[in-house]
Amino acid sequence: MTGRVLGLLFVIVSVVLEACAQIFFKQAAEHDRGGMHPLALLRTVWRNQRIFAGIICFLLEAVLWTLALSHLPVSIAFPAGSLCFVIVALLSRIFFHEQVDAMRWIGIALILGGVTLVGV
Amino acid sequence: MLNRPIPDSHYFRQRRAVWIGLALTIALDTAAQLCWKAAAAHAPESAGMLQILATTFRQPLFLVTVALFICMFFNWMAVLSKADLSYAQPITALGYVSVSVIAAIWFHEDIPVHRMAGIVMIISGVWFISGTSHRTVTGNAQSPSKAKRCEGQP
Repeated sequence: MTGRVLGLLFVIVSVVLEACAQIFFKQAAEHDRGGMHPLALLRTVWRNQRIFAGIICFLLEAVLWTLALSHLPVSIAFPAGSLCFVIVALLSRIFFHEQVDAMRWIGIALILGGVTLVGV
Repeated sequence: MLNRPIPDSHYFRQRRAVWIGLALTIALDTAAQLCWKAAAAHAPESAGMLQILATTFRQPLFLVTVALFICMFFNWMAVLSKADLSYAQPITALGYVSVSVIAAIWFHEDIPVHRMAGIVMIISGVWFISGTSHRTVTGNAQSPSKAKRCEGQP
C-alpha cells in the first residue's frame, strides 16, 4: 500500500472515531445532567461508561491522526478530516433529533470550504 | 401580539453560557494544538511511525497538551449539556482560524490570500450557525421526531 492510501485510511478511521466520541459525549451529557459543578461532573464521568467509550475513541483517534499527518500533506488531511462536521450533523439528527436546518447546513458547507482553503 | 413565543431571559442566559464555553473550547484547543505541534516537531524527519509517536509522547510539552485536553473535556461536557451537538461542534472550527493566525504571527509568516479566504469562509460559516437556536427543544416528550426549535433569534 502506498503511503498516501494508508494516510487516507488513517484519516477516514480517525474521522469516524471522532464522530463516535462526540456522539458518546453528547449522550452522556444528555443522560445525566446533575449539574455542571466540577465535582458533580467528575462523579458523572466516573459513573458513565459512555464517557469511557468516548475517551477511548479519542485516544485511538489521536494516534491515527498523528500517523495520518506523517503520511499526508495538510492540504489533503485537513479537508478530509473536516468531513467530521458533516457526519456529526447527520448523526445528531438521527440520534438526538436535532433540527439541522438549511442555515446550519450552509454554515457547515462554508466551514468545510474554509478548512480546505486553510489547509492548501 | 407576537405569534411566536418570546425568548425568555433563561434562554439568553443559557446562550451566553454556551458562547463562553465555546470561546474557552477554542482557546484551549488552540493552545493544545500549538503545544502538540511543538512536541511533534522534535521527531526526526526520517523517523518511522513508532519512533515519531515515541518521541512525541516523551516531550514535556506533550504533558501540557494532555492537561489542556483534560480541561477541554470538562468544559466541552458543560457546553454539550446546554447546546445541540450540531450547533456547538462546527463552531469549534474557529480553532483553525486562531491556530493559523497565531502560527503566522509566531513564525513571522505572511498569511497567503487563499488562507485568508478560508478564514473568512470559516467565520461566515460560524455566523450562519450562530443564527440558529443553540438548542432544539422537544415540544412533546412523546414524539421526539416532532422536535421543535425554541424560537429565539438574537
